[in-house]
Amino acid sequence: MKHDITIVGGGVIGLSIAYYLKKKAPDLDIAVYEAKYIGYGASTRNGSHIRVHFWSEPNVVFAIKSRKMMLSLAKETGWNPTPYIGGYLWLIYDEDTYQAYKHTNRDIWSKYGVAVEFLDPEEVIERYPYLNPGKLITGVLGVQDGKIHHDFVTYAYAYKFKNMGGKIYEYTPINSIVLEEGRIRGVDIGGKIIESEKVIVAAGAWSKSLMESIGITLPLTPSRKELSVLEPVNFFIKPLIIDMRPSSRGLYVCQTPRGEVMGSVDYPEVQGVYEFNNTIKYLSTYARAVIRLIPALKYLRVLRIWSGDYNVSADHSHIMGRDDEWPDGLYVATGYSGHGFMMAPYTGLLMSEYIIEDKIHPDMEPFLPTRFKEGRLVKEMMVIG
Amino acid sequence: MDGDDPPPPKPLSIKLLENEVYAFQKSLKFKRPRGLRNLTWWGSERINLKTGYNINPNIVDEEFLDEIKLEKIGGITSKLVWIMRRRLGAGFYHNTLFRNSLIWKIFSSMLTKFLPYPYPDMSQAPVDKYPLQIYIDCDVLIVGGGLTGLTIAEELSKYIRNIVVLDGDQKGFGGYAAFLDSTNRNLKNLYNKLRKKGVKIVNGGVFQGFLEDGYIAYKYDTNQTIRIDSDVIIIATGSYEIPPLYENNDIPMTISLTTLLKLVMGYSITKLKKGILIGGMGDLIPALETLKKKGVDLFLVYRNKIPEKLRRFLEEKGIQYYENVYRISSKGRERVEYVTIVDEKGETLNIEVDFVAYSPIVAPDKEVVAQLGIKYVFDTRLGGYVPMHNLYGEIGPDLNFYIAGSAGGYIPIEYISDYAIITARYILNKIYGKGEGYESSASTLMNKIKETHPEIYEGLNSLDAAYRNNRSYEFVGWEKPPNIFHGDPTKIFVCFDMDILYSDLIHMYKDLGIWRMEHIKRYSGLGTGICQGRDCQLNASIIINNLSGKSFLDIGRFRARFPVIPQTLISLAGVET
Ligand SMILES: Cc1cc2nc3c(=O)[nH]c(=O)nc-3n(C[C@H](O)[C@H](O)[C@H](O)COP(=O)(O)OP(=O)(O)OC[C@H]3O[C@@H](n4cnc5c(N)ncnc54)[C@H](O)[C@@H]3O)c2cc1C
Repeated sequence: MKHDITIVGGGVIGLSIAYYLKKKAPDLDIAVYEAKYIGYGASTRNGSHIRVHFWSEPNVVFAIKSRKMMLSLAKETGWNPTPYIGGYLWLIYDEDTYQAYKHTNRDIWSKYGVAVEFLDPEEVIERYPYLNPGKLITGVLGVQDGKIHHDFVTYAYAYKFKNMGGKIYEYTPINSIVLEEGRIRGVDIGGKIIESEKVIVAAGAWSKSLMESIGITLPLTPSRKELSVLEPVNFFIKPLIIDMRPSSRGLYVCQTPRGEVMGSVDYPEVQGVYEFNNTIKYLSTYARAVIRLIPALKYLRVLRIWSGDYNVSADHSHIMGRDDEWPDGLYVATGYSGHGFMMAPYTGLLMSEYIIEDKIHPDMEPFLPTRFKEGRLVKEMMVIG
Repeated sequence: MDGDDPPPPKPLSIKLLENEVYAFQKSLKFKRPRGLRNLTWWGSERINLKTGYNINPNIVDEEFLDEIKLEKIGGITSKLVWIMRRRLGAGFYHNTLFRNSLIWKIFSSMLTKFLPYPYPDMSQAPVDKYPLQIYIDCDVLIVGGGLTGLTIAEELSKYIRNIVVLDGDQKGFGGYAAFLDSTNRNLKNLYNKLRKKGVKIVNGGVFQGFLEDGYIAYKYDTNQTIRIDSDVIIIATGSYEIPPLYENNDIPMTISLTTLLKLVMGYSITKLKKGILIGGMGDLIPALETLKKKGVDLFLVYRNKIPEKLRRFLEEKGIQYYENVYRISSKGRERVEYVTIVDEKGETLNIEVDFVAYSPIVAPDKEVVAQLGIKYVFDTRLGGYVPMHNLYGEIGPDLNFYIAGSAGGYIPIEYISDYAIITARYILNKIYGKGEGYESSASTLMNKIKETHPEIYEGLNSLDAAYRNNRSYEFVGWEKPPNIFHGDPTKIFVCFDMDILYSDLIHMYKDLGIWRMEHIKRYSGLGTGICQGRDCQLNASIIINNLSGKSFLDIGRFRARFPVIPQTLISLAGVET
């Protein structure tokens, strides 16, 4: 067996790349290898939020285009990702953060039509009477942000790619990348070498170790996050709410259009690749923080809980493309931190242009892996989903 | 159950049944009327269980209780959506119509306005007190106080002091065996004896699962979290019945055999005079005997040929039966009123009933152990998906967790006690270096099983061998699965929470090529409701296996997630770490 292009990882990133590649070059033999099932990594475990509010310009630009693609995905793939644009609401408790939002708005957001409303505490309570926000300074509302069903996006790409003749191998892990004379020869699967012109590593939290095995170090730190869903109740929490009190430990909470209340805290901190377990620490910390913010939730019951990895890069922005010093034919798309789902459509499109036409789009340029050695970081402070 | 204590308060569901309200549950997604199906514990509606209950007494208000009346269930939006969804399939929102973003926007905002749930109590008062957590610190924790759990506790208590039995029932002991004439008395004595002996039996406590930094249980009657510190944990959670697939299997008063026994024996509900029992594997005889004594008139329906021993029993007792049944359908509004049965030759029979009971497949209740992420085999002789373990219940040589009794695969009831004793002796020997040998009693038992139930003997041996070789296997012995009947697939429910129909699975497989359980869950939401796949996952895999011929191990099962039953946030907030 032999492929033109092999993609390591059947997450939303790998599948989006696969789909756009196949669309651009239907005659190429393109294969996705997935160690478990489609979406096993972060792609089926995330909070499924999309936003255009980033703190660095390249991310804002990227996110706006990705959002647009996301919203027309139903027509593109035949799967409706069921968007619900309910907004993001940041609850801000200290002056510095408040000022930082003001500056970002002035310097970046206003330039690109990224809308924000600054709400004073009374307004917050009036609009969101279920909140018990404590000593709030201000609420920042971003109305263009919202939720999209993450599974539908991941699976839409997978099934569409397959229907166009693409190959997906589930439960087929790639042991290693095989090199020959300074270029890619293929991949090792179960001790057998499958030849391939090009290999794209989109293996989420596992990318770091895979790249390290061929001597390439990427500045990545996987970080496990836990999430839970409460039983459904009538819809009353419209935006995703982010409580920025340090004592709330990065609490965010939202309600899905089917009524389930979903949320998380940034605790405990577990770095590295571990089993997708859960902890009592998370449950009790989350319960306390979310009950403090929304007392109405106190008697709601936890239906299920799970965990997944943020694959955090040194500057919290994703890494896509290649470094010319790498073996020929090797590409990556990884390090999406807490926002890889929303960036997936545009990533797929730009990577396919790059791989097939060797064209580096200006929107992609800032995210090349070479930025770390060149000191051109895309510092992104806003990491939550 | 215990002579000294006052009886526990009647659960809401029982009060409703007594008042002839049958459709008091609703499906999660489309608010379809439902009644109880698998009533696992006393006081069940406080916690939902494996049923798809969505009555949370903490947020139930008068209005909501009022709404429980069938006429009000649903509401116009739910009904419209349901009609649409029925025509367009489970993934109806992927239909061309909804791919238009404007239409979707209008539709989704309408949906959020009319979700079929109550609001929580919106009072703003900050919460300053949480329920205190309970500590259990013991040598051995036994999860499940049924025949297996109590027998093990008795055997262990000969050598070990600090034993705790955790049972989901608010009172009493276990599931099936506790309500059979033949075993009820022994169990009652055993229960009292153990309590006198100092074995701690905690009722109303559900073991929720294994978390990385500890294990917790939930005492739902007092809304408290239990922190557990135990050297050994024995999982004796028993088995439960998988709902059969036939036309209109969602109408209220379609219940598991164990639920029927509980209602009749445990709650003395007298309105259940006449019904059919859809049987398959399992110990029907002691249940039939018990129910007959109570004057319940049963008509046995069998998908396949009735086994000889059972047939002799039925004829001797004059119980009517129907075998090789091809098609069933129920009719009724607030509850099943009659059932139509068609055999393979097309002969038809209408039976008026008060209920439909079922016990076609008795599957191990492995939700707790599934969280440990151990391997599975698929063996129809043992009830479908079975966690890997050896004959004695060991699930890993270095793990201090064990599976006991029918939680590890179907065991005929007459052997449950002996089997439990062997597990107990194995644990005593291996961990404490105490007690009698287990090997000779094990081989005696296996020989007995071989004589009376050769299939199960084979199953247990294959499982044991698989464990030793660390290799999974698949055994599918059903010619015709005992739980699938012919009928209009748009009227057969597979997932009762998310309203997924047989026809949806056909559509997913045939039109979209979706067949892995993980994909099915993601596409349709199957198994993401309150039952979390307990009721529907095996059925869905049987259907896919039938449609595609793919193996059960390839079809796979989705990961079991904490918690076993839904647990309130406030009870978790009080937990110290
Ligand atoms: C709790 C949580 C909440 C989040 N919330 C949001 C959010 O709201 N919005 C948002 O945009 N993003 C969110 N994210 C981030 C987002 O989920 C990820 O950035 C995104 O899914 C990354 O996709 P991926 O395809 O790169 O990685 P993954 O989805 O992890 O896919 C990588 C795949 O590679 C496979 N693989 C690994 N090694 C091999 C190998 N050797 N051979 C074959 N296959 C292999 C893995 O099995 C895996 O399936 C969240 C993440 C988490 C954990």
